Amino acid sequence: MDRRRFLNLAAATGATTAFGTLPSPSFAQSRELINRKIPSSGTAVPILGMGTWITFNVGKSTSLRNKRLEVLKAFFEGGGGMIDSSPMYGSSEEVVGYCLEQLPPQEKLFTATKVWTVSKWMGVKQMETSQSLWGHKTFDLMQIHNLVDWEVHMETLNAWKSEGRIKHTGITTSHGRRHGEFEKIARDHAFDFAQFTYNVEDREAEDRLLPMAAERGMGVIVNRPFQRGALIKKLAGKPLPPWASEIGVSSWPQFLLKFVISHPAVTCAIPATSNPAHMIENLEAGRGVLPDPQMRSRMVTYVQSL
Amino acid sequence: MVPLSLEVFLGTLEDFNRMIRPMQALAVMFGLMAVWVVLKPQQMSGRLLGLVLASSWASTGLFYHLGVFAELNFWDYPVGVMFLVQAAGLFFIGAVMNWITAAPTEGTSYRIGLALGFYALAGAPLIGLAAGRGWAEVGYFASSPGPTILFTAAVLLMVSGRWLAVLWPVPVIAALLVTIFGVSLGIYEDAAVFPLVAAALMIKLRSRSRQNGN
Repeated sequence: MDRRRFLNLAAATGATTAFGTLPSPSFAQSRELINRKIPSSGTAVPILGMGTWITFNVGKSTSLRNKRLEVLKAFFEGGGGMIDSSPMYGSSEEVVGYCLEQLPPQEKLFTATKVWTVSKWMGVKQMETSQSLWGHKTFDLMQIHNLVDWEVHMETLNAWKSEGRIKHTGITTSHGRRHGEFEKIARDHAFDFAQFTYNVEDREAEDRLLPMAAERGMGVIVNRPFQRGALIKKLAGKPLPPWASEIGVSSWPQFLLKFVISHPAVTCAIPATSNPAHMIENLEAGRGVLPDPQMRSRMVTYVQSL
Repeated sequence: MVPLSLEVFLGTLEDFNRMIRPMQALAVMFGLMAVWVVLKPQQMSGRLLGLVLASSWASTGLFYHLGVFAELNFWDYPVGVMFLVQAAGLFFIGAVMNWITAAPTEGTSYRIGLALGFYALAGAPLIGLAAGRGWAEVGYFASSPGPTILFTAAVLLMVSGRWLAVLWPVPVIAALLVTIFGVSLGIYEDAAVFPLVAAALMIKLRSRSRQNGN
């Protein structure tokens, strides 16, 4: 049996733990990313999406825009589909729209953005601007960013959903100190998605938010899986654990992503990068086996020991 | 909380500086003229100082913050408006009411003001160049916030007059934001803006309390 067939079989049977090396990129790209279903709609989305905070905020520069186009190409070629942005991210939405225009229509594209302003009128204007910037009349997901004027926007989002202008609604926070307020809102109101921060070092969401999302049937998007890059910097130069290969991990970014997406309540994580090679590397974390609860505890203990 | 990378910031600053060239050199000349009228006061010196400083804040607010960087960084909207408010204050107090007395103050306040003025016009850009950036990747007086804030603090140290106290809060707040930005992106000359403006304000307050004591 050649290597390709062996790996294919192993992946299909969940037996990738049997060998310690990662498949080559070309082979890896031929395999599907793990998909998770959105609890409220049953729609399947790849377990790794793409964030655009900072990385896609490149303004009018054509050369920088074309570099981001390479990132997006690598993302789609690697099986990615879900892109998350926000009007808060400067020119990111416009740059995403520019890149999407250069590429053939993507079957798996799942468009997610946010409303981040006050008042109903401003919110509607902002969402219409986002439609225009992305070049998409319908968003798969519209989220209320950082709880800004959430009561007002929630009504608009529900109205848009019933009109078919958006498919899912969501609410986000990236501040741990607002988790209490976030939980109360998400418990009391019907949203399809919750987006918050979760990573191997910041595991506050494990106590309340992740169980609440599972209980309420909400999809979960995890932002800052690398703690805004701080975890990558902190772990750079440190050795991966000898057992990393058991979960198909050959780099720290993959280790960090595997940890996040292996939580059963997580629908997808949205790492951001401006480097196509990093994108390919990140997507590898979304294939093969995911750590079980015992392995997840081991991962936390190991990172804490460094 | 800075939503753009150093690469994008420097690239955009470069495009901006190339677009407005040679306005930077012209602005530095106006800055030197402002220092000259403090050293050799004339009848219209106060109005001229008000006009030069107001123009520098208005151009930075309109073109740098609102015109270019607001697209990349939401903070540039309120900061741009803040610059326009300061421009209006300088224009009213200096150019319209002639409340800036361009007679140089004596002692430490004056000497440090003079040094800070030259630092704002030439020293800060030189630090950027020394850090390995090209001429278009550094900020200049009247087209970038750091040097504009520093030069204004320098002039306020060197002059006296009615209502000048109201011209300090905006530079202090703006300096704090520039420093946060500079620290976040690793731009040394911007990181130094708040400490320098805070020190200038302390010196001014000490100088005033001494004068009141006399």
